[in-house]
Amino acid sequence: MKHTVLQACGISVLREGRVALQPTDFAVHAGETVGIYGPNGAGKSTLVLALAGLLPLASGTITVGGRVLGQELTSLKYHRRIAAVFQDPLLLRGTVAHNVGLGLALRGVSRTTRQARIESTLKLLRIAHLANRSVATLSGGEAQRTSLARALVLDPEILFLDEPFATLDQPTRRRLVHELAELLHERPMATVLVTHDLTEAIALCDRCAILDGGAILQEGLPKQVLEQPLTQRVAEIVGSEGIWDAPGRQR
Amino acid sequence: MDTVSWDYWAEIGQGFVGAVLLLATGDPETWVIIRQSLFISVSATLASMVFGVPIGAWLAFVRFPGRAVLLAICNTGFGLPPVVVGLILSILLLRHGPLGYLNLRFTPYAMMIGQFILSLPIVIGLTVVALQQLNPKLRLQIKALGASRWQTLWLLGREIRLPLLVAYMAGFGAVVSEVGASQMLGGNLPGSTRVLTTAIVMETGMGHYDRAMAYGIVLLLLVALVVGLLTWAQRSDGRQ
Repeated sequence: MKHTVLQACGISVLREGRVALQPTDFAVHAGETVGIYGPNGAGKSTLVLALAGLLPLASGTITVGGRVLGQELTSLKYHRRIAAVFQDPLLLRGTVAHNVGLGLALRGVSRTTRQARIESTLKLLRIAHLANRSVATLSGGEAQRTSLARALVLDPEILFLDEPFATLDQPTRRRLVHELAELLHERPMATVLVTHDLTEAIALCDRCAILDGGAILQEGLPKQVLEQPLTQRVAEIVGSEGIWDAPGRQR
Repeated sequence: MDTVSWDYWAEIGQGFVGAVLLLATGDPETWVIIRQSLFISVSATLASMVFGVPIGAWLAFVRFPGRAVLLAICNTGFGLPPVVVGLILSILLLRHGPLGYLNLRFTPYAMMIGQFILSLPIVIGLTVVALQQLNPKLRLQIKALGASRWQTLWLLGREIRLPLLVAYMAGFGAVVSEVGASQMLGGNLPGSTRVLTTAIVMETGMGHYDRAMAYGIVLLLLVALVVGLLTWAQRSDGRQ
């Protein structure tokens, strides 16, 4: 069995006095892609931000490679081992190449090494021709490719993706999901993907967690969750009411 | 209504010509006053940026009890009367006062402290507003990229460089043109604490309109320079 790279035990998050994430256990294993699926306001982004060490925890611990985050592992050291891509590309002023190389520069990687890694990642994401373009002139798809390149260039142990394609149009989204599936397949990193698109979850994830009301309702293979929802709420969320409760719902 | 006499206009005109001559001929006294004004106000505003930007970032991002009170104090600071700052600092710097041992009264450094206190709330307030207008997730993204606390501050500062320039210019504009605190803390000593504003007050009182106008022209030129720099920065920022 693959080893656990991240283990969250009983983590909960309060946001503005409200429970945004109930005490939750969650594990990420080496090389796997875990999907977090749920309706709007379910707490998906809160969970991924908490796992990425970007939100203060109200309770629980996160263990990374056997070391407790915030005790044996500082958040700075942890952040230098991960990467995150959000719904908005969140690019900083400057060119595409500057943005892609930013994480490497912050880690003190030399200019020569940085340049080589930036070039190869831009090629991988098919945006090498945009290297010297200002990010202000990019389309939505180009900006999100830049954001993905900025994360992948770091060769992270864990990649957190918080609905990275939510704002893109359908054709661009389909193309990027397809390309990302290939990239994740080729690389050994663990990935946590937040999505509210089932096809995206099925295409990209080895395992899937259904989240609602700040709690995980069910975890398993995407196909299993889709075909065998454990509760009616899960069936409603994944849109398989017919499978769960046939008589009254069949049309 | 009495008409203004020709003599009046002649005197004013003569003063204006005298002012232009003073500036054009490089009158040493005038240039010392300009140099001291710039030295004191530029240093005070730079110091307020060094302290004000991190304090502004702290107030913008960290939630703690009393934060609203601190923000209100900063906003009040926008209208801080220079004479009150001058009065309080003068009392503190009196020979037998709590800061008397520093021997700073009637020195350019006392004026710098006064101007620093006047420009600090402006810099803090404008930094808070600029940072609050950024996407809240940008800070998380920078953190997730592996930035340390100071690297985060630097990158966020880069994102709001135009508002920060506005903060510097607003702070500089406020202190270079104030007279109350400078007069009380500096004492208008020639070659040391005599600056444009205190010199204008003194020369006008003595009837030396040519000198007063020369200093007034320089002050106006400084304000024009500030406005020009801001406009240029806004245009070049817009092009990016």
